[in-house]
Amino acid sequence: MDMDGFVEEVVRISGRNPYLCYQCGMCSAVCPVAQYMDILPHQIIRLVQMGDPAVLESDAIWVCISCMACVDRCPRDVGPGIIIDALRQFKLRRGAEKYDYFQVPELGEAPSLALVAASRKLTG
Amino acid sequence: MAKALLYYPGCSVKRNSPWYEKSALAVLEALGYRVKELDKWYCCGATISLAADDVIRHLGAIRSLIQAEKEGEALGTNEMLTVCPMCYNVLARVNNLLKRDREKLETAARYLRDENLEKYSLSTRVIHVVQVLHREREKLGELVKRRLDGVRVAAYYGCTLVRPKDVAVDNPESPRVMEEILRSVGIETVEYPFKTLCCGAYHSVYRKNIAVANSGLILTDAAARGADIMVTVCPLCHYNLELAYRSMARKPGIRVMYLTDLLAYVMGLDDALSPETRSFLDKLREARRELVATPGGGNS
Ligand code: SF4
Ligand code: SF4
Repeated sequence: MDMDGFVEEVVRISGRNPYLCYQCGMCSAVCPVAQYMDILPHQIIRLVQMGDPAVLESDAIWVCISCMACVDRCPRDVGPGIIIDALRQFKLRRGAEKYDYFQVPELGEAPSLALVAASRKLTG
Repeated sequence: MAKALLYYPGCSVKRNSPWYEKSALAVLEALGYRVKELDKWYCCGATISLAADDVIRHLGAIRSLIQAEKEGEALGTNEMLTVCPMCYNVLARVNNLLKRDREKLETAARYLRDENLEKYSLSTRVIHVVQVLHREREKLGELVKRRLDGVRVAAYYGCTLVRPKDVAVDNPESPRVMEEILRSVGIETVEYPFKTLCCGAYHSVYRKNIAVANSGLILTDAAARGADIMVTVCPLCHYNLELAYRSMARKPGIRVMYLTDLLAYVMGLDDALSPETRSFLDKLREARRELVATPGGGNS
C-alpha cells in the first residue's frame, strides 16, 4: 500500500490539524476503550504528526468507537477521534475490510443499528 | 389543538424495541401530543460520517429532514421526534452540518433533484423524547397514578445524547434531565459516576468483551450505590447492558428498562407495558411498600 502523503490525506479527510496537539494526554485519559488499545489516542496523534505510517497498522484505530469524549475535551480542539476516523477511512478507501459478517455472535438479537454502525466503521 | 410531533422511528425501535416505542408514544399521548409517524423515512446510518469530504453518507438523514419539512407544514410543526438517541444524534448533527456548510447543502440538493425532492430549507428541528418529557415534567407529575416509594433509579445517558457538545440535550459533563424527569413523578434517583461512560456501542457485534466490560462496570457500580433499576433511552445501550448482565456470574440486583416504561407504569398506562415489565414493577412496588410499612424495615 502506498503510504506516501498519508498525513496530507488524513488532514484533508478529517478537516483537522494534528500539529495543534501538545501531547497533554487528555484524549487518552477520557477514552472509554483506551485499555483495549495497543497504542493510546495521544500516541496515535503523535505518530500522525511525525508522519509515521506505522500508525495505520495499529489495532487501536479499529477499537475507537467515535464516542466523541476526546473530541469534546481536547484543549487544543484537535479532534483526535475525528483524526482516528480519517485513519480508518484512509485504510478503508484502499480496500481494508475489518468485519467478518460470518463471525458475528448473536447477530439475530442485537439491534439492527449495531450492525449498521459496525458496517459503516469497519467496511469500505 | 393538540400539540403535534412528526415521528421518526428508525430501524432498531421498529425491529428490536417495540415495547419502547409503545410506552414512549403512550406517555406522549397522555401528555396531549398528537404523534404522527412520517409517511416515509430513511435509515439515518446509525453513526454520522465524520469525513469532511463526504456527502453521500448523509443522504438518508437529509431525505428524512426534507420529508419532515414537507409533512410538517400540514401538521403545523417543525419538530421531528426521535426516541432512539443514535438517530437523534445523526439527524441533529447532519442538520447542524447543513446549516454551517451551504456547499454541502447545494451538492445534496443537486443530487436529490433526481428523486424529485425539494431543496431542504433547514427548518426541521430534531428533538429527542427526553427533551419533550423534560419540558413537560410538571404536567408529568400531575399524571401520576401510582407511587414507587422506596424504589431507587439510576439514569444512564451513554454517549449520543450528550456528545458532541453541539447536540447535547444537557450539560455533557453532568447531565440531569433524566433525573429531573424521574423526580417530577416522585421517583428517587441515584448518583453514580458512569452515567455518560460509553456502553461499548457496536462492539457488542465486533469485540464483545469490550461492550460486556464497559456495560458491566456501569451496572455494577449503580447497583452498589443502591439502584434497583437502571433506565436508558437507547436500544443499543439497553442491549449491551443486558448482555453484560447475562454474562455475570454474580448478578447485581438491578434491572434495565426504558425510561418511558417506568413513566408509563407510574402513570397507569398498563397497555403500553410488556407483561414482564409490568409484573416486575408490581412485585418491586409490593416489596418496597411492605418495607416502608414495617417499622425498622430494611435495617436487617
Ligand atoms: S487531548 Fe488534544 S492536545 Fe491533548 S494529547 Fe489529545 S489530541 Fe493532543
Ligand atoms: S472518540 Fe475514539 S479515541 Fe476518542 S475517546 Fe471516543 S473511543 Fe476514544
